[in-house]
Amino acid sequence: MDIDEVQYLSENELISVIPNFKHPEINLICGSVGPFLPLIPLQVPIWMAIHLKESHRCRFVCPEWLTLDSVQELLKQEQQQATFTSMPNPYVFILSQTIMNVALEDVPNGDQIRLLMKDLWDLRLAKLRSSIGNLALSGSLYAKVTHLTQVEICLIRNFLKTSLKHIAQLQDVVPEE
Amino acid sequence: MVIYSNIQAPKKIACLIASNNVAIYHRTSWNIRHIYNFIHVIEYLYYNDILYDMNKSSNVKAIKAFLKTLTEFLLYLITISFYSNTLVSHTNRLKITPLNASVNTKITTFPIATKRIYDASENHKKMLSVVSAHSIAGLTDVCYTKDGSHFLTCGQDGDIHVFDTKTDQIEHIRCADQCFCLAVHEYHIFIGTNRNELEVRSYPHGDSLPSLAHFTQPVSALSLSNSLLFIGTKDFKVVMMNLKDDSNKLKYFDGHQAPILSLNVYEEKRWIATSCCDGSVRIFNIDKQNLIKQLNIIHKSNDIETASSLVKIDWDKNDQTLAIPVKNTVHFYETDKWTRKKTYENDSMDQIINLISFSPCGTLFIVSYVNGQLSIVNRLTFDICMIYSSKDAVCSLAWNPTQTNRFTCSTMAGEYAHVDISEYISKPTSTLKEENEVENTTTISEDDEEESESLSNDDEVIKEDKEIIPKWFERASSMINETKTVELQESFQSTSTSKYLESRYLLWNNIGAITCYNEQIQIAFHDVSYHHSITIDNKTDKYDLGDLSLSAIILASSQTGKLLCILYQSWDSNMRQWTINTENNDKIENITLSEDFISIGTSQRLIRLFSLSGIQQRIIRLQGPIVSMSSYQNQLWIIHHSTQGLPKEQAISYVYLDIENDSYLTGPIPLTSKTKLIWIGFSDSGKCFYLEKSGYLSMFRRTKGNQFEPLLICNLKQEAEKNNLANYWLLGVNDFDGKFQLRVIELRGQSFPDLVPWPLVSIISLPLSLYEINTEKSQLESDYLKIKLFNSSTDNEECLNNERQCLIKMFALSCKLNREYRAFEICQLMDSTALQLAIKYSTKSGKLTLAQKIIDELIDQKKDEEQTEKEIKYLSSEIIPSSSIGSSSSSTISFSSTFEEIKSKRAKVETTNAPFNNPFRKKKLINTPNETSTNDEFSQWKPTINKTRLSSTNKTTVQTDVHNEVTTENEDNSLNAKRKIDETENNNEETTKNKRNRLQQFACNR
Repeated sequence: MDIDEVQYLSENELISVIPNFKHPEINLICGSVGPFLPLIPLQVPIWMAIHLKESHRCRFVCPEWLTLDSVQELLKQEQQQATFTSMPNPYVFILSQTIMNVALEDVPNGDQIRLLMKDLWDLRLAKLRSSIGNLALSGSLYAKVTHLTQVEICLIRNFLKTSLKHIAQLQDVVPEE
Repeated sequence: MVIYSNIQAPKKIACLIASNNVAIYHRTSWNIRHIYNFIHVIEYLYYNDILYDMNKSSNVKAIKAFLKTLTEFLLYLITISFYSNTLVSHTNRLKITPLNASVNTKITTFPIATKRIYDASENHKKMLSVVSAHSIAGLTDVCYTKDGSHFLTCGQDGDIHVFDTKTDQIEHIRCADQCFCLAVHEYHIFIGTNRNELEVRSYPHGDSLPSLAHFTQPVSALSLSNSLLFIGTKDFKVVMMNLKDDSNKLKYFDGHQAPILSLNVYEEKRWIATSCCDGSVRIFNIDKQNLIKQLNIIHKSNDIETASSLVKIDWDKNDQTLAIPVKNTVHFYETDKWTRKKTYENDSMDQIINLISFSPCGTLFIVSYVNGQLSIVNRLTFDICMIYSSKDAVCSLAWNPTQTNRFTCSTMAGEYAHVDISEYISKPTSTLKEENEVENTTTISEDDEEESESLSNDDEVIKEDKEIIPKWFERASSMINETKTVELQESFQSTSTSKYLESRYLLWNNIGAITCYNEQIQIAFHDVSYHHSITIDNKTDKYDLGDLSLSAIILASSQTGKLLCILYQSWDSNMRQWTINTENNDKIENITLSEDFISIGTSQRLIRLFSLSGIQQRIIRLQGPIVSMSSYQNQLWIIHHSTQGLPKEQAISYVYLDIENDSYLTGPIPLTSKTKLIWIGFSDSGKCFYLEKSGYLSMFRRTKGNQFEPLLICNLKQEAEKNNLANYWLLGVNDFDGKFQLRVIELRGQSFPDLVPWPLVSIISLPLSLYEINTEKSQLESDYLKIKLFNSSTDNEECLNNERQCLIKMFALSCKLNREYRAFEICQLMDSTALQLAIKYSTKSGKLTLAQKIIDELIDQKKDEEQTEKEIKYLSSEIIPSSSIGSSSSSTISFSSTFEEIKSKRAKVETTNAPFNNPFRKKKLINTPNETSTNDEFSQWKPTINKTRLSSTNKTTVQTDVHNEVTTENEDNSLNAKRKIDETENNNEETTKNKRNRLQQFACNR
C-alpha cells in the first residue's frame, strides 16, 4: 500500500459540511448521504465534500481536531512524551493536507495550523527514525510501536522491510564471533 | 430642647432630633475634625424623659432598644418621605444645647452645612429638549448679547451661529477649524479658536477684524464683564484687557501651571476667579493683579480635553460666596476668610459636576453633571426643583439678560437648549415651614474654624465618603432611585445584531442573510442555486433595516427615511426595484416582508402597508411605539409598547393581523420581570413565538375561541449554559409534525454572532421547561406535550403513531415504577389501539388489577367515544360520503368484537372536546365520588346529544332519532359499515334504555 492508496482510503472519512443547495438524499454504496438543506450542516465523505467544495456548493465545518488549540495541544503532548501519542484520526496528516488544500478559508488560522502540523510531522518522523535506529542497533527481535498513523506506517514500510532484509543477509554472511 | 443621639447601629449615620424634626446626617461629609468631636461628644441621649449616659449608663438595654427603634423610625421616615415627596434631612448649623457642662467644653458649635435632598418625584424629571447646532461634537460655548436679542454658539466645527431670539433667524459665521469659547461685546465677537490667538469678528455680520492678542496656545476661556475682557489660555496665562481703553494693554495674572479651565469675574469686588488644570482655583484682585487666595481642591489634569470636569465656577453675589464644583459636590466658599461655608451634594448622583451657575434672580442655581444631567436647585434650601437630563453633558450655560428666568445651555454634542425656570422661582418645592426653619438656621452665625485647603485632607474626606456609606442608607437611596421612569426598549428587527456594531447582520432567515459591513450591504442566499448574492452600496442611503423573501428584498434606513424594494424574481425586467421616502419626520423603525405586502412600522406609531409593487394599501395605527414586527404568509404580528407597566417594568402588547381573513387580534404579552424582548417571529408552521432576554421562549397557542394563549416553552439561556455556551442566537423555529427544533447559532463568549467566519447554524431540540426534566418521566412528558402542542394535522398517521408510542412509553415507565394510578391516568389519554397495547403490557408485567381496571373503565368508554365520533362523521358525511369511513370502522369492529365478552358494564358516554385540544386536561373521570351516580350520568350523556347537532329538549327520543337517521342514511353503504351500524344501534338501544331508567330515577330523586 503506498501513499496514494492511503490518500484514497482517507477520503472515505466523514466530515461535516454546510451545503448551500437543496437536494434529496443520495444513496451510495457506502451509505446514504443527505438530504442536503441550505445551511444545515451534515456529514458527508470527504471525497464528496471535496467535490462539492470545488464546485462551490458547500463550506467545510472545521473538524474539532483541526483547530489551532487542539493542534497546539497535540504538538505539546508529542513533545513531552518520548513515545508516540495517539492521534485523533488515523489519517490526520493526510486529511489536514487535503482539507487545507481544498478549503483553507474554512479553517480558522489555517496557515498557523499548517506550520504546526508540519512541526508535528517532523517530530514524529524524527521519533520514528530514531526508534528504527535503536531497533537496528539493539538487534532485538521486535519493537513495539503504538499510535502510528497510516501514512507513517506506509512511509517506513518499504524502507524497514528492505533494510531489515539487508541486515539479515549481512548477519548471515558475517560469521558470529 | 434639642436632643442629639449618636446611633450606633448604622454606624455612619448620626441623627438629630429637634422637637418634631428629625435630621439624619451622613457623618462622613463633615469636616474630619468635627466628626471626631461629634462622635466623642455625643454620649448622652434623651429618651422617655430620662437622660442616659451612653458610656456609663447601666441601662444598656434601654439604650439599645432606643437605638433600634430610632433606626427603624428613620428608615420608615425615609421611605415615607420618598413616597410623599417631601424630605427628611434638614441640616444646617444649629447650636447645641449642651446636656451638661463637660460636654459643653468640648463642642460649642455644630458646623454642618450639608444637606441632602431625596427628591424622588417623577414630575421633577424632564428631558432637555436640545437643538442641534454644530456638526462636530465637543466643547460648545454659548453666550448672549447684552440686549438679549441674540445669542451665539460656537462649536468644534469652527462655526459661529448667531440666533435671533425673537425671529429664530440664524446667521452662520465661518470662523476657524475649531472654536473653544466666545464672548460678545457691543459690536465685536471674541472667539478663542485653534489659531492660538484671540479672534475678533464684527457683530452681527462676522467680518474678520485684526486680532487683539496672540498666544502660543489656543484661548480656552473668556469672561467679559462690562468692558473688561479676561482671557484664559492653554499656555497657562490669564490676561485682562480693557476694551474701552484703546491702548490694548494687557494685564497678566500669573501663577497658573496648567491650561485655564474657566474664568469668572466679580467686578463689584474687583475679583477674578480662575480654575486651572493644575488642580487649583485662584482668586485675584483685578486692580492689584495679586493673588488673594489659592484653593487646591479640584482634580488635577494635564489638559482641558482630559480634564474630568470643566470646573465652571460662579460667584454667588447675594451670599458673597464662590461656588466651585468638586467631583460630585459643590463647595461654597465665603469671601471673607475663604473658608468652606456649605457643601451641596446629591447623594444619588456620583457623577462629576461640570459647571455651576447662579440665576440672576438669586433664588436658584444650576448644576450640570458630566452624564448630561442638569439639576435646578434652590440656592438656600438645596431643594432640587427640577432635573433635566440629556445624552451629553452640558458644558456651557448663559443666562438671558432680559428674561432672567431663562437660560440657554450647550452640550458636548454641539447642541443647545433653552430652559425656563420661572415656575421654580414662583413656587419652591419645599413647604413654608421648612423654608422658615431653613432661614432661621442659616441666619445663626457660625464661627467654625478655618478650614485647611490642603488637597490631601480633602482627598481623605472623599475617600472616606465612599467607603462608609451605611447599608441601610444605600438601600433607602436605592428605593428612591427606583422611581426612575422605565426605559422602554427600542425597536428591533428579529435576528438583526446590534446596530452599534461596525459590521452586523440586518437579517437572517430561511432564505438568506443580509449583512452590512464596510458601508456595503450584502444579501447572501443560503441556497445559491436560487439566486446569486447581491451587493449594494450603502454609503449614501445608510440602510439599517432589511428583510428578505422568496420574491423580494426590502431595505430601509431609519436615518434617511428611504425604503428600497428589490423585486429580484420579477418577470417585469423594467421594474426590478422601487424606492419611496418617508415624509414629515416619520422615521422607519421596523420593516417586514410577507407574501404579498410590505409593512413598515414608523416612529409615529403607524404601520403602513404597501403591496410588493409599491401600491400603498393601508395605514394602521398603533397604541404605542413599535417594538418589533414579524410576518408569515399574509399574517402580520406587531409588538408595541402599550400602557404603563408594573413599577420598573415595561408593558408590551401585540397586534395580530390576518390580512387575508381580515381578522384583528390584540392582547398583552406576558414578560418575566425586568426583561425585554429580543426576538419575535413565526415558526415554520405559523405559530407566534417570542424570546425574552432572560432566555424564556414562549409561544402563542391559538385557542378554539380564536384567542391566543401564551405558553412558556423553554429557557434558551439556561439550556445553553448547560452546554457550556454563552447563549443561543435564535434564528427560527421548526415545529412541523410534532417536532420542535430551533435553528440557532451557538454563541461562545460573544453576545452576537460574528460575520467572519460565517457562523454555523445548528439545529437543537430542547425539552419543555418542566420540573425535574432530567428524569425520564419528565422527558417523556415533554415529548408528549410537544407532540400535542406542535401537531397541526390530527389525521397524520405518523403523528398518531408517535403519540401512541410516547404514551405507551410513559405507561410502561409508570408501570415499572409501580405508579398504577398514574398509569391509569395515562391510559385515559390513549386511543383504543394504544389501550390494547397497554392492557397487554400490564397483564404481561403482572399488573392484573390495572389491566382489569383499564378494561372495565376505559375500553367501553373509548369504544363509545369512537362510535359517537363516527356518528358525527356519518352525519356530516351527508355532504361528503367517503369510503374511508367504511375502512376505518372495520378496524374498530374487529377490535370491539374482541372485547365484546369482556364488556360487563353499561357503556359510558363522556364529554369529549375536539381530540387535540388541551393535551393534559384529564378526560373526566366517570366515578366522581362526590356526585350521585344519576346526576353524573345525566351530565355525562347530555353533551353527546349536543354533538349530534340536533336541538331538541327531549333527550331520549332524540337519541333514538339520531340512530334511525343514521341507519336510513347508510342503508346502501358497504357491508362493513352496515354491520357496524347495526351494532351501534344495538348498543345504543341498550344504552338509551339504561339512560331512560336513569333519567326516571333522577326524576324520582328530584
